[in-house]
Amino acid sequence: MQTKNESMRQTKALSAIPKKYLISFVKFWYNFLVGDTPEFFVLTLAIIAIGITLHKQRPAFMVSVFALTGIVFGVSLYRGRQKKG
Amino acid sequence: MTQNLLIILASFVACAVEMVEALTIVIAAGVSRGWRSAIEGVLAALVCLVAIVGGVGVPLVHLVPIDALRVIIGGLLMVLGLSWLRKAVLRSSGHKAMHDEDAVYAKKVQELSSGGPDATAGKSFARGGLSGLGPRDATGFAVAFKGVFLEGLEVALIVISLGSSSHHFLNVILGAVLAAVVVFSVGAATSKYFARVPENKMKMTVGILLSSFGLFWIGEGTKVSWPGSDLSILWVIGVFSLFSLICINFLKNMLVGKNSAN
Repeated sequence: MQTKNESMRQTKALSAIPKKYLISFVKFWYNFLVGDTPEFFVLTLAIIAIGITLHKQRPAFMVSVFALTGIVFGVSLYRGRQKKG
Repeated sequence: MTQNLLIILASFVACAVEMVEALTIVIAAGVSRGWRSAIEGVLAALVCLVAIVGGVGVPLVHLVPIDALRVIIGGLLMVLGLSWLRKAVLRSSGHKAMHDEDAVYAKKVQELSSGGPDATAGKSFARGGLSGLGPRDATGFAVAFKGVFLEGLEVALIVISLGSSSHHFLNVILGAVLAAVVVFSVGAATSKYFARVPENKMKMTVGILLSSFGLFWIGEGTKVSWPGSDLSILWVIGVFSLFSLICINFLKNMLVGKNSAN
């Protein structure tokens, strides 16, 4: 009986390993892509969308991409500044 | 020619920043827990990295269409570059404490020394070991492994992304190898003077270069024709640099105004 319990525990521990690695993998990419600046992830997706829709209208692409990057980066800096002087 | 040099520079600086971080962790682990385990941790991490890059990185470049790869990699570079640039701008303008490699090193040594090899006898590997390198220690091994593996993954990502998007793999690898040679020679010779590496300036340069290359490749991948073709990367870098300087000045003035009001 004791041996059966031990083997069950070992099987459980073994099956937990891939799950653990999967969670670590997802966590790594979440922290890498989103982390504490989710605005840059959204900005990048928006730039890709703008590129796909406006790739034939170069001036519109340039103006919208640089304006959007400037605004999002500025807002992100404002959000990240120290609260106390 | 200009693009070749810029790619080597981007790869060199980006890899150097990651390598400085990895070296800090390895030195901290070696000093506090013994060099044997730290060196073994570094070697194990390097073996894992080579296996991952060889198994996943190289086939990826041959199987995925180049435009899709450019958009994905450009996006990754853009996210990474902008977050580095944001930190560097906040630090330069005084809104965030400077990243001090000496402080990181001291903190790591203190954390590790609180339970030295003797205090963690249960976790230690077989003792005895090579003469002069000290006993084996699980914590020292794990810390060195983790530091080199995680920072090395970022180096691999930079090398694969820059190499596959620009089709200049050799230049990117050259930049990374130069960074490894410079960082590890300088680190070995002057490990005490780590804090003198102007990390924030390096981080800002890398942030500007990665964001610029990221935006450029997203455009290339979505079939946007840049004015000036490949040379347009220069004015994109110029725009990011100018905007960063404006932000630093604006934030500095904001801080001065706040302090004088108090």
